Amino acid sequence: MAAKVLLVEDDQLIQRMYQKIFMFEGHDVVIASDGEDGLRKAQAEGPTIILLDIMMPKMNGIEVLSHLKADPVTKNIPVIMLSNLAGDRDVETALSKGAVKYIIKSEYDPKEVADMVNEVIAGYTRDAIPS
Amino acid sequence: MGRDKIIDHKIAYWIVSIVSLLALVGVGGSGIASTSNGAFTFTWRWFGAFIIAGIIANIAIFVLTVTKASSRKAAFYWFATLPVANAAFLLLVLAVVLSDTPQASAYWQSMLPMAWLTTPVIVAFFTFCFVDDKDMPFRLAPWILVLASLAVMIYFAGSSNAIESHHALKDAELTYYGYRHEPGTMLTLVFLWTAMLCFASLGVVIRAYRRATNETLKQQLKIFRNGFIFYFSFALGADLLIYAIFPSLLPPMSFLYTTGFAGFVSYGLLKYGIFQINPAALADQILENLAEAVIGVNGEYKIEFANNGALTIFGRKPAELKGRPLRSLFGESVYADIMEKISASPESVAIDQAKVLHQGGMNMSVAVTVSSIHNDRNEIVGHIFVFQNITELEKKTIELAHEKESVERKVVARTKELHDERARLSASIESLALGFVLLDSKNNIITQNHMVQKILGVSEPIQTADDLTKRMHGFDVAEYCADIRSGKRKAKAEEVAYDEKILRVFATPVVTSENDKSTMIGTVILIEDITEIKVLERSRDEFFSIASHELRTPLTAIRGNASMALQYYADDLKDKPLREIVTDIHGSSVRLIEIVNDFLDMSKLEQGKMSFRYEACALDKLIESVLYELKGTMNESRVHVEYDGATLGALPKVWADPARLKQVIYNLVGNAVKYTEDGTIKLTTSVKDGKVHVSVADTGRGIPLEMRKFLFRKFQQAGNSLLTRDTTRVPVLGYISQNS
Repeated sequence: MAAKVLLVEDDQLIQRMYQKIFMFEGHDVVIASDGEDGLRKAQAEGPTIILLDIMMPKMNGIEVLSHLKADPVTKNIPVIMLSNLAGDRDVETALSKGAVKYIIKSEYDPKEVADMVNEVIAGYTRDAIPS
Repeated sequence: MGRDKIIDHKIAYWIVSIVSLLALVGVGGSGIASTSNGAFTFTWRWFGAFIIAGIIANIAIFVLTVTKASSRKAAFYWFATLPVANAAFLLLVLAVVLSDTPQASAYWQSMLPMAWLTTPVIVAFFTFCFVDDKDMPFRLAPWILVLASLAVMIYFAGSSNAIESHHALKDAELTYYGYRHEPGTMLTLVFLWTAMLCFASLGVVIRAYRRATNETLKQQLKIFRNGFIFYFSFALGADLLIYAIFPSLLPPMSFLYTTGFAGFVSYGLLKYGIFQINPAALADQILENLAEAVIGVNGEYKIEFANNGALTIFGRKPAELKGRPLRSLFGESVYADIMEKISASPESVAIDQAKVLHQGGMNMSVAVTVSSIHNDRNEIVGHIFVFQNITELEKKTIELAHEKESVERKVVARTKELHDERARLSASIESLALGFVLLDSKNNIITQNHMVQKILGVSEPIQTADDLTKRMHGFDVAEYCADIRSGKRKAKAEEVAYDEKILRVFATPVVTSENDKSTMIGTVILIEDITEIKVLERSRDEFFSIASHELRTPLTAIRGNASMALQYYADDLKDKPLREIVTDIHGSSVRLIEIVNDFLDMSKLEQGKMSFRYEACALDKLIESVLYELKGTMNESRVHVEYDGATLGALPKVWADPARLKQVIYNLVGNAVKYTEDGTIKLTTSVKDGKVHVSVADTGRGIPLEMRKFLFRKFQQAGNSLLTRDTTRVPVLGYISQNS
């Protein structure tokens, strides 16, 4: 089914790449280029799932995650962390703060990432979350 | 001059002693004979006990002195005769006291004078022997007078009543001390005679005592004087004065004062060595035995005395030298020089070196000391010259001087060597790019080079090991050195933070070995400033980190886009070459990503940031998955991996990080596969010492011997040149382990 994917990512190359794959998969894509923008759009757009990059200027992904989970409007939206860092600490921190998954971008082809996103969405809609 | 005055007067002494002895024996013998005939009988009177005590005392003194005195000088055995004479005399007194009849008493009484008179004579004799000639106011001649008058008195004592009235004593009074005796008319004269002799002797003793300068002599004379006074006062008092006034008042008191005197002298002999040490007598002996020549000259410098030493030095006997002028012993100039010195300092002169004329021709080198002789008016009446042979001494001195020169030369040469050595050492130490500190065994700093100050950023050389420790964080120099020296710590470079720098400190003990025994005498510390190196390393690691990360983003884009093109635009990519182009773009990006991942891993390892997640791993599963992944490459190289599945399956689980362990196995097998053509790779496992050993053996090109040292080092290639066309074919030895 069509979902709204909020992609919070500062690099244009990566933005365009993931935009395409989710388009091919038939999802709507909203792009935010930094953390603040991401938070705003998360509240405004009500996305089904958020893909959150860690390395961003102004506010990094972990911070954004904290804010998302602190805000009652956005806290129930599943968040997948995207990164090219493979620091275990970051992984643990993100997961402990409520991220559902942690994906290293360079390790997966876009199709694989899309499949993972679909899985998460499916999982979340199966267990219906009261709004 | 006699050497031993006592021996010189020996003859006189012997005459006196033998005559007395003979007389005593003769008369005594006849008395004893009469006693045994019954002519003389004896009765015990209590007063006799005193006399017996006196006899015993005198014998005891004699025995004591004989046994206890340490030296056997002539004087000693002369002294011992005094108590013997006393004892004999007292025996006669006893006979007088105990006699039963006046006649017997009188008979024995006639014997007494001989014994009684010899005592003062013996005492006087001792006196004259004891004192120096110069203290003796008169010579031997008066002795003849003394002995002659003694003989006369003895004769009269025995043959007449002149001295003792001993014939008509029928009614003699019997007192507690025996029969009372009438004095003879001449008795008083005899007493006066002995008194005079005693006075004379005592006077001599006292005079000698006052003039004695030698302490020992003074002590000896004092004892003798005191004993004499004791003896004399009693003798004068009891036997002369009181006897003259009240003849019957006192019993014979001689047992008391003669014994007392003997006691005094015995004491003096044992404690102060009376008669033994006569410095004056020794003086002659000393002079004669001196190696030095002693010459006495008068006011006109004519030789009046020479000792035996003159023979060695001048080649002339003392007798030859007497009367010669002193100048005949020297050359003209030498003599003039000596005379000059004497007139400059008349009291005493010391000349270090002079040449004297030896009779035999070989002239001696001597040292001369001159002292002047004074008379009572303090005028110089002569000189004493003492010559010391220094020929040998001179020779030795010259030899010594040569030796000294030679040694000095050697020292100079050796010092120069040392200086050179030291200069070399200093230059070497200063040229070091490291800080060099040399400590002794007590951690005091002996040497340091300038680099130390530069590295530590101080303007003065450091004083103690503590100065170093103070600024080094967590590093105690003294403790470190002690550990190294005691062998507790192996010599290893330690990285230490110092202010804002990082230093590498290395210490090694200084050991000297002597006779198979090695001693630690200090420590050498090397200090290297590795701040720059460390910074560079960190920069490089950070660079890799950042670069890798930066590289990954575009690489991800390449990969992702190529992948999407292949997947979603398959129709547009029906054209084979075009599809290949896109496929290769994707493949390259994947490979690049792998390389970048390796870089990142390596830099993490290097920075020590790699973390391992240990868990129980099934080796067989890991190996199988590796082989599965390598299937493609294996088929390409037509290589087959052989392994025993049963053994693998039976392996115990290992405690490792599964991802990293898989990486290692992948690298090993991958390398083997890549560089073996048409062969078999054997993979074997074994369990030993609680560890599982995995070995991969191939039949490929292998790693040349000289390259093996690059194993386990980063990025080393075992090819001979980096510019081979076949770069994929060169085994990459990889970086698969680092202290993990």
